[in-house]
Amino acid sequence: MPDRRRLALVVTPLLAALALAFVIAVGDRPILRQRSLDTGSSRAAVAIRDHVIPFQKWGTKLFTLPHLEDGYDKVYYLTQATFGDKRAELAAAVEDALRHYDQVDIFLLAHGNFFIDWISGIDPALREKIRLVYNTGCGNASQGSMWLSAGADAYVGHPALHSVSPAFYFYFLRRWVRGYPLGEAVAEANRAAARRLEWFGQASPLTDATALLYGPPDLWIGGGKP
Amino acid sequence: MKTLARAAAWLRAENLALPLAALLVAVAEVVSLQAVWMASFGPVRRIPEWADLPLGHAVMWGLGLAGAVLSITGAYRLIRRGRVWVAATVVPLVCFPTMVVGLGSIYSSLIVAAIL
Repeated sequence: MPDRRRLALVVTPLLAALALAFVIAVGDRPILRQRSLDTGSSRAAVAIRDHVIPFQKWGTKLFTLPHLEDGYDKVYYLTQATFGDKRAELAAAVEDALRHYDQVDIFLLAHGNFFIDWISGIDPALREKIRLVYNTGCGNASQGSMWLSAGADAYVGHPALHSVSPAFYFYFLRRWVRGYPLGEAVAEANRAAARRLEWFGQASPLTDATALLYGPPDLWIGGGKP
Repeated sequence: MKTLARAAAWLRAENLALPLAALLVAVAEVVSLQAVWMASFGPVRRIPEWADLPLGHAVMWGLGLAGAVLSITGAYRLIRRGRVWVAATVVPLVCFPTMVVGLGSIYSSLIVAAIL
């Protein structure tokens, strides 16, 4: 049956290509490094995941840690084991990072939170070295001006009551660590997350993954204070 | 045993053994991933912390690659030698979804490992 053989040789690779295209369309395209991160300044990231179900803790770590390690000289990654856990550890990690690195970014991977209180004991002069704070917490965009007053150069947070922030975070972190300017990373992540939520029928005024940026949009992972 | 042997022979004759194996691998992958995260962050930690990520990737690569190869080979054989109505049913309903799971696992592994 020469026709069946030819059909199989044509259709099978097409099906495999279609399957891969489907995966990329639902997920994200490959994001390649935009520019060298070797800028001569040292940088550290501090991330904390709140006390959620094991799958979420594991998934967050699985995705976050390699990306942060790819973009930063030092990564402090904390996972809470109980509610309110790791208060002293977070403050110690942020302080240690601020003392030893030129730029420090903080990733608050938690439901609605007030971690800003946890680092309030750190010397304000040191806190001036905080560069970016990203907060996944629902409605925590309202902390923008507080974080800027606390010393951060830029803050990214979600205004919605149900922020579905993992949808945004997935696209944002990949672009940020690959050297996208902050404004562009936020805008692209907002667009990509909104599109997926719409595809899966999850978009509504209450479930909105949009994040707001407070601070300079031209900040990038390799850059210092603007 | 006779029934099992007869079922295996029927699966082989209908070129359904590979698609079925691909389906089982996809299920095994979901179960294995669940086992890894429970071992990492379940009530009792059963594996060292350094193994959290490599084990997840090992599952995604090992079973993802196996599932992709089985589903692609299964689709090829069905289209080439299977009965037309069997191929027309099994390829889109079993082979294609398992291809998505298998290739998706490998692609996801590359994404979460910050390679792509």
